[in-house]
Amino acid sequence: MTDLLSITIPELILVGAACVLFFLGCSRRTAARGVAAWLALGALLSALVVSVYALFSAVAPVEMVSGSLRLDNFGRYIRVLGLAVGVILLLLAWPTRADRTGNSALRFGGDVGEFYAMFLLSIAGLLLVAVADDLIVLFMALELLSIPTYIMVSISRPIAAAQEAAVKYFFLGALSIAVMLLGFSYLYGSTGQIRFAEMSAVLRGSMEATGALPRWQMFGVILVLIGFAYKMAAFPLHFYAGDVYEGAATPVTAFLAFVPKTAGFVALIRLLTVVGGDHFKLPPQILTFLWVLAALTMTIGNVLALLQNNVKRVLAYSSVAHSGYMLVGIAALFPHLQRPDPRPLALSGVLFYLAAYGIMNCGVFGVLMLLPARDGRDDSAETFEELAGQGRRHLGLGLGMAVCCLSLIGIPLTVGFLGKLMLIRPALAGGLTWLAIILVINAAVSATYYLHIIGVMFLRSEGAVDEQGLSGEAAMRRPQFAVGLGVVLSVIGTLLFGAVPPAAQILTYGAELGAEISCAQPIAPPATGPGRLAADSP
Amino acid sequence: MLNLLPLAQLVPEPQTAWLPVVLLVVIGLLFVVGTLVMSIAIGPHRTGPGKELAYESGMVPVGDARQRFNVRFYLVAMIFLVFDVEIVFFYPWATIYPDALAANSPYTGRLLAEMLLFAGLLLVAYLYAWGKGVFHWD
Repeated sequence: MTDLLSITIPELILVGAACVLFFLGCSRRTAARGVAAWLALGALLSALVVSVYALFSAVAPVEMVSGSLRLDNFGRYIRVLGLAVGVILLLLAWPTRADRTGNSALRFGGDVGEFYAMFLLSIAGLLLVAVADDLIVLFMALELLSIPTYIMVSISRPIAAAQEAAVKYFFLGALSIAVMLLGFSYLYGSTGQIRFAEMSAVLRGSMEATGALPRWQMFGVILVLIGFAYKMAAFPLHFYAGDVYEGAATPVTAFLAFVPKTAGFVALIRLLTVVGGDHFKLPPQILTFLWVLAALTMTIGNVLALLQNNVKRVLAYSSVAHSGYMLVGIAALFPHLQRPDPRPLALSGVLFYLAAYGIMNCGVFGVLMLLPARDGRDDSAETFEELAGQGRRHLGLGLGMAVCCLSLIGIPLTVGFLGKLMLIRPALAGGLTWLAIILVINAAVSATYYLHIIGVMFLRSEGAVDEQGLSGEAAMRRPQFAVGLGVVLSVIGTLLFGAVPPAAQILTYGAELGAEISCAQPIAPPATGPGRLAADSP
Repeated sequence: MLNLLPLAQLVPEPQTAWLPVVLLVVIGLLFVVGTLVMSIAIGPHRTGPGKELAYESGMVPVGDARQRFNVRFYLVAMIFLVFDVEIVFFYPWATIYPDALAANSPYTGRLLAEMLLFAGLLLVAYLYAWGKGVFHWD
């Protein structure tokens, strides 16, 4: 038991820096805009250092006195993951223009302080989702994560498509939050509890008494699952992905493909812990539901990705498919061993895949950012025509894209292969043979469009560049050191964690540590009334 | 007159805990339907051009209601929210804090710090709006 401050140091760093960034956003000076990016980077790095130290030093979960935050190894791992990928995402969003109003793909103009403040607040929301221990904090954390992303999409570039994407994302996001809240209200109404520990005790009590969840509790769980599906871009609520990912500037698209998705999975895993307890003794209906969700998400994502011409839309639907792969790991989350494992294999597989997806995803979007638009837009490449032949012209970028795409398919020697392996193994061990087969077929289908990207970059000849197209080319020659560094880090990460055994072991060990998730023990109901504070005093 | 006292005594029972809510809904519906029916049944039925105008607090209405507002009105509404939320959270805090002081609780310092932090965060929003020039009205 400890207090609020010592649990939330990384979040406090991020929120404090965001407050300063809002003040910097009021200034019109170029220097202030340059400082803003460095301040955001400093905040992310210092929060990362604190979190890495916490992951490898502490073992026992710590709770807040009043019990609305709880930091276990799962939360510690998600913190390190969110902050580390957050650093790469920030490098992709670095303001490399001379007047610090954006970079080759990002044009936030004067709103640089606000943009980075939103960036930090959203990541702070992700970290809080991982430590939330009651329904209210979970809801607040998800809102802290979501609201800044709507603003980031709308200010990321001054074109109508970005505004349209932001409005769609906002309204559909509000809809999904409403569904989720309806589920929360059923959970609260049928258990009478807000804290996860007590709620879990009630849910498991009714499971043990009757062998199934009562109807209204089941209804609540399913509604909340569907609400989370929006954040994960999974089956029932995946429709927004294409338009929103296409309309947002490319670095923001990379952000959307990682941060809300991770938060969705974190919240989902936490909910399943509440329903099933530490060993995920879930009712069979929920497992069937997750099975269907996983199969449909993978298949629909891949089929829709096959039909697109815009590379960002392809990656949007492929991101839906990757959610489906991770849902296979979630569907395998039930005790299939005689002795319950304190570190469920399936969970560490999902956590490993989240990290792998974050890294390779940043690489793909980073390369897209560094390739020029060919039709005179002051922007980066987005369609297959604009990618044509660029792999031969910019060999390094082409190879980087090839590595990341092969990793997204799941070719050996990349981190994507290890990730898929760690998802399929527990699925097979748990008897989900058909789901594993669907996953493998889908991975093969996804190879079609990933190989299409690589093929277009290297094999197709470069299209004619019109007069205006050259201005875009000139804009690309601006030094974009930070974005390049982000791409290099992701490509190195993809290869390092996939092909070098010690590095892969470190990431696997981290994911296994992170799989130590636990639900707090219910505490005795506190004394109510004005005498409560007096009763706490020694 | 309806005697509500026996109903009030039933409230702590779990199966009748929703009774006040049901009563509220029923009374609300009865009130709406009742006033409508009463005004149709016993009200005078006089009509004319003056009677069919929109009611504008006794003034003669001017122009269409669908006109453009200055965006500043929305900004002022947002700034109002800053203070509104502040009051909403100050109020329960202010009911707890004197008790904590009176009981010599070890948490008084933390309670004060939490509220100062909260007020400080809201102040950031206010200063940001100020810095962005929301209060320039020309």
